[in-house]
Amino acid sequence: MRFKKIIRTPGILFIIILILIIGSFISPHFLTLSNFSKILYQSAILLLIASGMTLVITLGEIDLSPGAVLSLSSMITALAMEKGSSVFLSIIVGLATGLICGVINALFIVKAKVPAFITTFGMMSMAKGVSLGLKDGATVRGLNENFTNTIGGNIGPIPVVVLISIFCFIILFVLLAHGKLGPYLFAIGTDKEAAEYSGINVQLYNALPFVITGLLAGVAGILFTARLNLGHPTGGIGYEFEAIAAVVVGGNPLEGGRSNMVDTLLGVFALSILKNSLTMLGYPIWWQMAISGLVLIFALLVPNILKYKLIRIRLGDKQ
Amino acid sequence: MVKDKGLVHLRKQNVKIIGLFKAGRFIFPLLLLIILAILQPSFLTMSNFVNILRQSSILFILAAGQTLVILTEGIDLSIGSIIGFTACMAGSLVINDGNNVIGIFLAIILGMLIGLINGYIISHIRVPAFVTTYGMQILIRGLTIAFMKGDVFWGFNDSFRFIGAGSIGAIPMPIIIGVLVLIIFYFLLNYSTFGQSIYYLGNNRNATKVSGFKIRKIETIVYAISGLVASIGGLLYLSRLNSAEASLGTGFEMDAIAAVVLGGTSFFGAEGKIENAIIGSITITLLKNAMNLLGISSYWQPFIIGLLIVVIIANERAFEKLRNLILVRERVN
Repeated sequence: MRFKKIIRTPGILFIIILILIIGSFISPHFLTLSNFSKILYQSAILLLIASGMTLVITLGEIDLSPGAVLSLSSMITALAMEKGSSVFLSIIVGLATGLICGVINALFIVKAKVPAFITTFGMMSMAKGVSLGLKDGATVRGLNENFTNTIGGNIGPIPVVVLISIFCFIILFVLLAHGKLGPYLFAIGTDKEAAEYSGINVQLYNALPFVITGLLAGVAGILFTARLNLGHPTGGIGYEFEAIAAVVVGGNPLEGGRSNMVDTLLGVFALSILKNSLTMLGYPIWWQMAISGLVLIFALLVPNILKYKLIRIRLGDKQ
Repeated sequence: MVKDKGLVHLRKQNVKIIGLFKAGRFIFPLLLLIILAILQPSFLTMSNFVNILRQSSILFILAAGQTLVILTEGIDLSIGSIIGFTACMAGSLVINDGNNVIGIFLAIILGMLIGLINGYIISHIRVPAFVTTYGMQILIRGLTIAFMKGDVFWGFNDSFRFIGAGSIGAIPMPIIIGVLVLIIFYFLLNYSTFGQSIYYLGNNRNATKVSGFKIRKIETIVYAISGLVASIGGLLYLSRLNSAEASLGTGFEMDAIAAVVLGGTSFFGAEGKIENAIIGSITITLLKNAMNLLGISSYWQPFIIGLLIVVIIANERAFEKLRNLILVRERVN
């Protein structure tokens, strides 16, 4: 019985605790408030994309486009500002970019029945092409100071970037846990046909996660621009994989049908403190890469081995 | 019920015509060929065709391994890093020791080993393929950077350069190796129990297991083959490029996946052939050639490739839907 209880707690918690213990031994600055606010600051954008991705993964699908859409939104926001439009208008334009990309994804997936992987793969390529092509691969500098000061700044001790990202996360958390959206997505992720027969508007609820992810990528693009104080055409590349990894490492199954926003939060947190502690260790980038890869695999490997052991124990009981 | 034979006949013809339109993946490369021929009359020469085949054969070799993986409803994101790692290892051996055979041998063994590890984790411990191979991608790239420490190996000896840049008679080596890979994979997929079991595995995992196939073994071997083939492709690429650096092969997995998908292999497993990978890789190569000829900036090129992937597949799905509709109506009648 005790063995079962241990397995039911998400495996990621063990990894987080392990990293915390090792980190606190390594550096006295690791377990400090200032370091944790830094970690929060660094993980804000990943959290945004990962929370959208959670919805998509609940459907049993994958969205490869948010990283490139982030860059596109960043470029378009910065370009709008460079052309002299107001801060408010530029933000709206950036959000609209993300939203439009999400809607296009959703239309292709729901109406044209193109597999989500291929649609979002194409969208990734397209968004990358446009954001590179807009300024021939150059970054956009000279942004409005009001913009970087408000969104890149702090409210009290907490950065605005973190506030926005946590705000979006909470909205999605409430939607998934307390609204219709959660059960409907679970139903579609488990069995699309059965969901359709039970009267769920499958097309709508299949499209929504992609639209939301697109919009969140737009938000992330704006935050990214404010943080770096420039529009970057390739800055977001790789975020999509990191987000998928965070969602899955947190314990949400990639096959869909079940998901939990808190798990995603844990996954994002784990990846971020891992990165932070590796940087604190002063390891060169290649060891950081190698260790992150290993941890990614082991985060799922260990719980799976334990699960198999549990099944074997159960079978043994029966015999 | 009296059947209207004429009508049925007509409808069956419709199905055939629609089937033809559905094959956008054949029509599109042809269209590209025509555009290229109009733009550059010298394009329609034998040497140019050989050149395009040479360029697409490395992509095909990578896509062939990816096809097997995708047929089992998996994905291998690590091949780009496997290419980098094995090519750098082989490069260092060839440059430092001048020993081609050991270098090539080591690269292939290493590629297969990494694939085996992928396969073992995916099939035996049931970690999702996406996460395993993504983790492996980061891990191996990190090791490659650590191994190279910013060095660049270049200027390989002639016999090593022969495998990627040389030719036997008029046929370049990459094409020969590509054709060899094609033949082996063709017989593997169509005429062996192993190949059939790959399709079964992609179709229904549990049913395959219950039928007595060793699904774990099959899946492990599939990923090992993908790694092995990737290292072969990497060696060819290295030999043609004549220089090895730590970032070699970055993003190749995406090109390979694009080639497989453009060829029409289904992402949900069990549907597709090795021939599809040829069409896909030739299409991508032709497309890149055409865009360069048209003077489209390399920054805009991903946009066009992405757009075409989505449009071609959407078009195919639309015709598929139409065909199914007609077939269903026929059955009702």
